Parts: sequence; C-alpha cells; structure tokens
Amino acid sequence: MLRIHRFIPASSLVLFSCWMSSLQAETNDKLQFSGFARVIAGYLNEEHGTFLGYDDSISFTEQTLLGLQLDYQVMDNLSVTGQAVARTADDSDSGIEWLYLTYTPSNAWKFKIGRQRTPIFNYSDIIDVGFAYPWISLPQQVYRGFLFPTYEGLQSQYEYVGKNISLGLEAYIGGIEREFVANGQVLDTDIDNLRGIVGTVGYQGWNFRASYHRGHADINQPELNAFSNQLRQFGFMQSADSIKTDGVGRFYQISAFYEDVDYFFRTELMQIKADLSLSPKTKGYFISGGLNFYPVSVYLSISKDTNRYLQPVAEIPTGINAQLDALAFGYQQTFSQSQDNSTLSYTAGIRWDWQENLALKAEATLLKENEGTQGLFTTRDVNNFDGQAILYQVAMEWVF
Amino acid sequence: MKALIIALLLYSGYSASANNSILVVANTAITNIELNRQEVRNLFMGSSLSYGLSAIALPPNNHTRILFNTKIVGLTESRIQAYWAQMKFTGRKKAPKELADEQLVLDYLENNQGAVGYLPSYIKIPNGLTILYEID
Repeated sequence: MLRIHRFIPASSLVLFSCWMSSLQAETNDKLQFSGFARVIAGYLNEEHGTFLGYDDSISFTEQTLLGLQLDYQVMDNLSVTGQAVARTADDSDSGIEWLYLTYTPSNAWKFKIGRQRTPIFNYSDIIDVGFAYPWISLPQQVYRGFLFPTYEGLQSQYEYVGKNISLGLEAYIGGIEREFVANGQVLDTDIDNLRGIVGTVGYQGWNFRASYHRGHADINQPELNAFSNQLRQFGFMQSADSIKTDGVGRFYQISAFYEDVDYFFRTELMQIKADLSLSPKTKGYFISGGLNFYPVSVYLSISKDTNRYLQPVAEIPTGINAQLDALAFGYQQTFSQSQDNSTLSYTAGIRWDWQENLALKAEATLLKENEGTQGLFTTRDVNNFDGQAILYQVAMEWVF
Repeated sequence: MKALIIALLLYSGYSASANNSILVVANTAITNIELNRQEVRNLFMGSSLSYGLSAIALPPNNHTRILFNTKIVGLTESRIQAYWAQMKFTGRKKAPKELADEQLVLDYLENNQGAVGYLPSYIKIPNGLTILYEID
C-alpha cells in the first residue's frame, strides 16, 4: 500500500526547497542561504521484519529530509553558521544540527566553536547530505553507531599543502546533553569529556584518513537504573554492576579512498569499544568500487560487522523461591535485546547527476544476518523470518 | 572516459580555434612561481597555497572547465559538485568564485591582485598576468 498521507510532507519539502532557491538569489555576499533535501522511497521485500523503518510497503518518509543552512560573514576571518534539519520519519529527531562560529586566523588554521556534527567516520558529519556520497543509505555496518552524533565544543583544523601531498589535522573537545533517536528508541543522553583527533593525507587521487574518538556517555534509562538499584539492595552487586547505562566509548577508524575520472574505490574500517550495556563492541568495514560514465555512475559495495555485547553474570540463584526466580528472569530479560550478532550486506546502485545540483539514485541492498537475530532488523516474526531481505530504494538528492 | 570527453570536445568544434591546452594564470607580484599539477588541483579544490592566491572558476558545462576537470582535477563534474556539497555543509572549505565566461575571468584577473584562474591557451594573456602552469 502506498502511504499517500506520508508522501505529503515529502512533497512539501520539495516545494519549500524551490522557495528557498529563489530566496537564495536575493541574499548578498555576507549572508548566504543554502540547503539540501532528499526524498527517498524504500521497500523491503519481507513481511516478517523491518529495517530502518522500511517494511513491505512503499514508504517515502523514513529518510526524507530538508536541511537549511545560513552563513553570515561577520568579519573577514569570522563567520557564523547555523544548520537545521527537518525529518519526516516518525521516530527521528529534527532540529539544529550545526550552530557554530568559525574563526580563520590564517589559511592553514580554522577554529569552530559551537554545536557541530562529530566527525567520527568519513561521512558522519555529512550523513544528511546524500548528494555528497554515492549511496542512498550509507553502509549501516559502519554508520549506524549512535553514540556521539553531535557535540558542543571547540574544533581546530590545520592544513598543510605541499608540492605533492596535503595533510590535514582536526582535533575537537566538547560534550552535549541531548535526546537522540537510535533504532526507533528515544535516548536521553549526557555526553561529556568527548574528544577526538582526525588525520588525513591526500596524494594524487588518494585520500587516507585515520581517527580516534573518545567520550563518556550517560544514557538516562530510569527503568534499568531502578532495576540495577533493586539488584544492589538484594546484594547482587556483580549483577547490578553489569547493567551499565553509563561508560566510555572509544572509536577507531581508518579509510582509504581513491577516485579519478573513470572509477572510484572506497574502503573504511572501524572499531568501537564501549562498556555500556546498550552499545556493543563492534568491528565493521565496507569496501566499495564504482565506475563513472558521466553523468552516470554505478557502484557495488560489501559491508560487514560483528557486535559483541556485555554478557550477563550468573550470580542470582534460581529454584530457591519465586522472588529470586523473578529477579533472575528480569535480569536475563534486560540482556535479551543485546545479543551478539554479525551482519553482512551487498549493495548495487546507480547515480545519475541530472543537474549540477540534483542527483537521482536507485539502490538495492541484500541484508543478511550471519549470526544472531538482532543485527539488522528492528522488528521481526521470529518463526517466519530467516534474517535475510532485500531493500530497494530510489532517491532524489538536491543541494541549493 | 578522459579520452572520450576530449574526443567529444574536439568533435563539437570547441577547440577549433586552437588546441586543448589550458593555462593557469594569476595576477601576482611573485612572478617566479611554478606550480605542479597537484598544487593547481589543491588550489582549485579549496586549499590555500602559501602564495596568497585566490582561485576563480568557470561554471559547470563550460568547456574550459570540463577540460580543466579532466586534465588537472581528475574528477567528473558530478564528483566535484558532491565534494563542494560536503565541504560547504561541514564548514570546511568554500568553492571558488565562479564567473560566467573566459573573458570575465580574464577581466577579473587583471583587476584583482592574488586572483588565479584557468583559461584556454588561445586567449592572449596580458603582460601584467603570470602563467603559473600549462598543460597540453
């Protein structure tokens, strides 16, 4: 069934984008409006499970969005930028993604202070601007990590451009208190002591990137905290300690991209080490290659991950009385949504740059759970689903 | 692809007046600058070199720009547009100012110290401007 009523916000976005395009023409050099929009339709060929909100009906709203950016040049080396994103998905958050002041003391140095997207992976800070990358949905095995998507703080950038090589170094520090949406769940999160460093090397058509990020996350989950306290009152300290709603997350990332007029190759590997019940230790990567037949490009990708969660401890005795049995059962239940898994996906897609600022894309992704049942699909009918499905998507990507 | 683009340009007669050489021309007081292809690429992809030069570009679909993209930048126009979207919406770099045609670029270069642009080699370069790079 086509969800007509959910198509309305998507078409409104397009009309609004048109209006913004005309507004842009009226602005002067100091004040600039710009923006991006993506309208994505998706269909999952599976009636017993859902992925990224997609099921076996065509939906336009899971990833459709509109972003508006305003840049104001206060002085020669000082500017202010704000970016707001409106999303159409029921279970996602809209709002201010970027709001920062940029100070550029020299050609080599740049400092940004304010709310910013965390540059964890190559596309983490550009995830909403589909026009900037070939895929419709970025490889989820690398890009679905939900910790630390934005922060408020200071970022410094340094660039060295040599005869044959260019080097970039970015470092940032900050924190944020904000609600995030992960897997359809709203999480009230307090992030502090977040910091990271990103190094890049450009050589001919190659671009290499390596980065390290670290932050402390405190995810407010009152029910889990109350249960943990209850375990503590009963004297089950190890069990209480094993339910961790706060802890440190560390991200390690390396990537190598190559592109020229004829073809492109991209690979990115990451590892997440987090000691929170909700966030697994993850290793993930993707490898992607494509050919350019300007204005069309085609690509293939493979991506894989493994996720290892904190394990429950066997501390609460069972079979003694009903109260302890209930406690043991409740304890096991808290871990039921975090089971180890491994997933794999294959993607084939095509992008057609119809206009210089407008691209059309089509993509098919075979999603496969290699191990475990909680890797990819959010809801499922366990008895009738083999953990494998194909997601079909078409998209219009626009920048203005 | 590269050969195809150049062949198409030749066929369309764009280059009938001369060959497909591209000159990178600047209005600069330092007249002994010699850039290599990588430096020119970096300059037009938003990286500032130490000479204080500021890049000026031609619009997409301009045939000089297509030659420049193919011979120097080594990317399709689509990828260049995607790159600038990434730079703009992450606050990293700004795309060069674009002027509508070669004559406007030449006029701009003459009137603005520090400006650097690319032009087809059949355009006569005035004495006040310096050729920093040439590619056949």
